[in-house]
Amino acid sequence: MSEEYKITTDKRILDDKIFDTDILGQYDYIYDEAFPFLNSKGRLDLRNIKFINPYGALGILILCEAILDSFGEKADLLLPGSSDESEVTSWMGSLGFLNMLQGVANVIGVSPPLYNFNGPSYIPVSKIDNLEDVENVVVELFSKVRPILINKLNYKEEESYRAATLIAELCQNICQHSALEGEKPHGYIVMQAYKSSLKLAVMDLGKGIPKTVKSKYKLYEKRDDGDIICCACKKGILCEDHFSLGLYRTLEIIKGGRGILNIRSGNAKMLFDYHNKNSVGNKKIPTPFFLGTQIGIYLPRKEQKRGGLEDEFEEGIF
Amino acid sequence: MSLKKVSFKVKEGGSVNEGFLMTRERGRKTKEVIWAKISELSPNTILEMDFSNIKFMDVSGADEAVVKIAARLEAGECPDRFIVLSHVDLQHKENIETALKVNKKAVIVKEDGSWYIWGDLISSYKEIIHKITEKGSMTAREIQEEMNYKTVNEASTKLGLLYKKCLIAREPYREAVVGGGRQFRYISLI
Repeated sequence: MSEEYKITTDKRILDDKIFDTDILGQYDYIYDEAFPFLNSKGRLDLRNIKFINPYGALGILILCEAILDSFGEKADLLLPGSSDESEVTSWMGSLGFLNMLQGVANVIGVSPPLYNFNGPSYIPVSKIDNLEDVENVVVELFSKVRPILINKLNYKEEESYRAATLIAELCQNICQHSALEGEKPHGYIVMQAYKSSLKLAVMDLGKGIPKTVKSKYKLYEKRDDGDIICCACKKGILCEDHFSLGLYRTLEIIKGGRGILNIRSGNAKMLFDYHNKNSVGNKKIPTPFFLGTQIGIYLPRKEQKRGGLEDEFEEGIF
Repeated sequence: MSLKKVSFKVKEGGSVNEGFLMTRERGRKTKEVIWAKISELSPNTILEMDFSNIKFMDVSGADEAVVKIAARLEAGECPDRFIVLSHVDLQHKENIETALKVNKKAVIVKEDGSWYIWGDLISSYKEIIHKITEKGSMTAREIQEEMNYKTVNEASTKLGLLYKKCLIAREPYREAVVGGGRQFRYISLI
């Protein structure tokens, strides 16, 4: 039977007053709150949404994919706003979300006029299912992310290379580690830069980190998913030749840039927070099972001490 | 003796867009091409690996195309052949250095008239390479005097290790020493 779930912005964001942290978690909110309600095809109502960021939008996309995978039918998705006045829908369209959503949901709503968001501050949502896609993302990373890191966020040139290289490696992981047996791997990347920060999300609906590690090493069979994600962030866990450094080096970059890394996979989410003074450290957050891997990266401007809500709205996220 | 130099433009194997040396699989293909080239070289030749065609390299690519080659040379699979890297940019550097450090290997890199040692090598060994490069070639005895080592043996051991790591070359025959004995003369790759 079809049910309707009305998605609203996450109240926890404002209650907790740690906006940047919870923006990374906005995807969790959508997935955890909405998915259990959708017993069959389902209907997602986004009409009340007034604000959305790349994580949230990618979350909706992945949610629609999960519904399609689970129930074999596309969910109905009611777009934010009623007509061409909806800036949220415009933003989603311009970043390529609407095109992607067409493939996995029945999108209901008027197509808005598109603004040119495919500028230097954005990487539109890009599907990754083979190495050619990764190569194309690398070109975008080098032409967009590096200049942002250097010119806006005060990164040194070599640090910008390191960060862009690592993001490329996270995309490669989708092709190399995420594929479920007999299935083609696929995932997404999206990036948006603000005046003093950069946010990037990489997600896939593959095997997930805990399952990958457990299948390789019996030692980890009884460990909980959060511990396994932590171990995967250490040197050389995931590859057959003990050479895996992607997550480890990503974490090093996040530490160096006093940013936030959020990894959700299996039954846990790990939050590596080096940004918020009051909550610095690793946090293990038990969550309902998630099919693949979600990685969120927040990098603030280097000398910046505080960031967050003001920054988001100052920049005009729509 | 002077070392022969052969320049070789590294080209990745298997990518659709040119210049993407990423993933282990492509790295392996690239490594095979490089190794085939090294196998053709005559002894006492340096292969100058030019990376100007490579736009992007990841750690796996760097590991296969640089570190594994260095490891095979160190293992003596092609004795008296050497590699020097050139036209490497910061993006390459980031990943080559990471791969070298993980595997405790080192290579010599030429860049805009300067040269560097990348990777894992303790400073006293680096100093020896600098001394030899300054002079062009040196023996263990000369190194002992220059570096104030207590014995020739100490210098000899260090030079032997650098030669084994293919970071310096040496004359094929020992030269006679005044007062008796014979010694190798070690040569810089630069």
